[in-house]
Amino acid sequence: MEFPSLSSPDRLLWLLPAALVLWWLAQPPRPRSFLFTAHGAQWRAALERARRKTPRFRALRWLLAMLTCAFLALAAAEPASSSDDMPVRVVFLIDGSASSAALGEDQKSAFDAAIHRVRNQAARIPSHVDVEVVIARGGSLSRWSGDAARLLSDPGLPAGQLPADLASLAAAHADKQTVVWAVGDGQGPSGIPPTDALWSPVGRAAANAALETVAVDDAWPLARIGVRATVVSHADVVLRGFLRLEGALLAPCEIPVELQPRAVTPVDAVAQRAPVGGLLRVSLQLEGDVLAVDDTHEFDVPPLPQTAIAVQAEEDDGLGFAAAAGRSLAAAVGGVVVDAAPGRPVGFLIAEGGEGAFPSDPGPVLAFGRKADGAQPWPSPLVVDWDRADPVLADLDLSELEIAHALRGSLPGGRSLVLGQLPDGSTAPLAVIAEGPRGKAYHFAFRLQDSNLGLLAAFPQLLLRCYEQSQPGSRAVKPRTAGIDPAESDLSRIEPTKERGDVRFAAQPADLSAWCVAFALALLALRSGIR
Amino acid sequence: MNPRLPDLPEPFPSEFRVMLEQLLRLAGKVQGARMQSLRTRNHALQQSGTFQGHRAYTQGDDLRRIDWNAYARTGSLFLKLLAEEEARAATVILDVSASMGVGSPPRFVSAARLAAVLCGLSLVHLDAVTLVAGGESSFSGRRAIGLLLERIASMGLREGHDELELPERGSPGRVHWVSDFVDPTATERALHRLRRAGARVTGWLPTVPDDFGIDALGWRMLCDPETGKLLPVRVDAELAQAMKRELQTLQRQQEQAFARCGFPLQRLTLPTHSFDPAAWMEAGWSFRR
Repeated sequence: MEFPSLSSPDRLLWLLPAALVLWWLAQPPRPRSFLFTAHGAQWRAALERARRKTPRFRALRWLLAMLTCAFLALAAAEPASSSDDMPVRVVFLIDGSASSAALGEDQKSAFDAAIHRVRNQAARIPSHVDVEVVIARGGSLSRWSGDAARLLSDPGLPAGQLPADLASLAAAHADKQTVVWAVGDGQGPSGIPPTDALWSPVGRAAANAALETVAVDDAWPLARIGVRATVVSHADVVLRGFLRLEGALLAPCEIPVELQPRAVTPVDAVAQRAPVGGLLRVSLQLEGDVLAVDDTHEFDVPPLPQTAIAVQAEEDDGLGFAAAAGRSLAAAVGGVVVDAAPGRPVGFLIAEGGEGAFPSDPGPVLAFGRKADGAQPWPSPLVVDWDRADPVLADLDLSELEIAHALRGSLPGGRSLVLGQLPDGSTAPLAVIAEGPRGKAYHFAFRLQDSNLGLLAAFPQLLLRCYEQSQPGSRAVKPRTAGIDPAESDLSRIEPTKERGDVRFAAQPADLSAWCVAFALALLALRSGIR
Repeated sequence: MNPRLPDLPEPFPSEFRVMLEQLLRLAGKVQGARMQSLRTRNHALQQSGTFQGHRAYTQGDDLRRIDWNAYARTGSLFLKLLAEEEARAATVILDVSASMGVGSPPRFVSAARLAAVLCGLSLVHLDAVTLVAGGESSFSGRRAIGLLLERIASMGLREGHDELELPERGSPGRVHWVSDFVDPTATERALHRLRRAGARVTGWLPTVPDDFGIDALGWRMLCDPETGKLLPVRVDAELAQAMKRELQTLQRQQEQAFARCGFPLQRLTLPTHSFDPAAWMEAGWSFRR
């Protein structure tokens, strides 16, 4: 015998307070005044002689009252008989993987067709059958139940892969009274129609090509940007089209492509970045491609740095070393050398000599031998060590650096880059790096003209690295979207399947509330006859 | 949670102690006491009774009781101890079961005062008195009255149901049993035991209004102080009448139990707030009989 199903089983909780109240009411009244007596036997004999009975707890009457309450609570829980073993619940399992975004002949996606199919089927299912919709996509499951499942007003978009193959998901949701109805395009090994569930196919085999990988060759701080794309063809015919680059570029770029059947084709493109940066979109545009979501990769491109190089030098330098460094750096980064004028924005400042401290956080600066207040002469300092882990000095050889004289105590606070030996044998920094929100500043305690640094082979690298590392903000090109999983792109192997949708549901369950109320009244009548 | 009996009031206020002294001075007029004293003296003169042994002579002993034969044999003075020596002591049994706490004031207060009077009379006219109440205690000499009162006042009622407490050592002799005798069957069984032990028992039952009926009608929770059992009853006139008849039946059963053993039962109502010796002598107790 099966217990009837309850529409509102939470109302059975009413029994708990009802049981307590009935227990309390069934207790015999307790007098408040006590009478101590040594004649208990005489009292009992007197009660018997007067034919009186003491009030006591009537277990049978309490039990009947409890049963009455139990039946009333059961009636409130709206019991319904489960007449047979036919299903009383249906679960629509929709394949929402990325491949179901492929367009059909009517220019609707397979996912839209699946949603339409489920809405139509749910409208035909009797109202007493519980309907649940499960959409598998993006590695997870989204669920709707009840009226929301029948309406399915906001099903979302297809994305990602199935969390498990469709057959496993169908088996996990099926039970004795639940029928699973799978709807999908049948694409890929995980989308094969389950054999023990109802099935509605919504996909079709089609030619498709996918932009599988896109690698960006960034020439920062130069404006040139290179793109190497890998295009995979899942078609049995030659496909022709374009690889289009647009967005954060000075001008869009289109590269014609010709894809051989079921081949991987590399495509290279070079373009010029827009100085302001932005979104770079790389897309494959082919005729007859039904799946668009695997044809586009997007990247976030940061703005280019300013390439105006300013040089500030003392007159006795004759603009020799500093000016040459500025010209060399401008040639390397594609910039120009400008005059160092107050208030003029520049991308990098090379300062040779000079007096007085820089303002705090001056931005990208490379300063040599700037004399601060209180600076002491430091004749012929010996370079003893430098920070080989710092990105500016990594792999550079400064062992041949010779300095005629430097300034001791002229460097601002910061991390030490190069160490020199004082006459007393102790060490002091010969170069430091100071970081701020506007960029990094590199300070050396000697002028270029007082050392052979500008003649060393490492100097051009040192100059370029100082420029690159001193720029504020990020310089990396970051991918935003990266197409879809390659396994979802192959639409050519979808096998045509037949629909399996024949199902009979259980009949409308009978309402047992009236019977429960009748039982309760009968028990109440029986209780009234018991003293 | 069952209710508890109210605390017992002080059984021996100073007025009672004064009255007790006056009662003991009047004790010669109490017939029972005088008879007991005379009988004891006659026995001593006749040197009768069962020989129990010797004890060494001490100053103050009666010269007529010296065993001169023993003196001739040993050169030391000894007194003969006869069985009648035991008979010169009385035993007072005071019921300290929880049922004695019933009444307003509790029956135990009257019972304790009655036991004090009985013990006092025994100490005045006899050699010693044994008090059986939560254990046995022996007292001798008139000066022990104060000690005896302290002993009685310090004892409390026993919790729960308790068997009748009887003397355990030797022949109890004259026994005054102060109790409520609510169980006539158990009372008669105990009286038979005492009679077989050679005791002569007088039953004393201090009454309380609860012994004659109930006046307070209404919804009551009866509580047995010995068992702690509760019995809710609605007391109306009919039930009160039935209860009165049951109490009369109980009184008859108590008197029949004592009559079948040949012992008297004295039922008396002592003044609870008056400590006038005359009122107490008129209260119905019958040392005069």
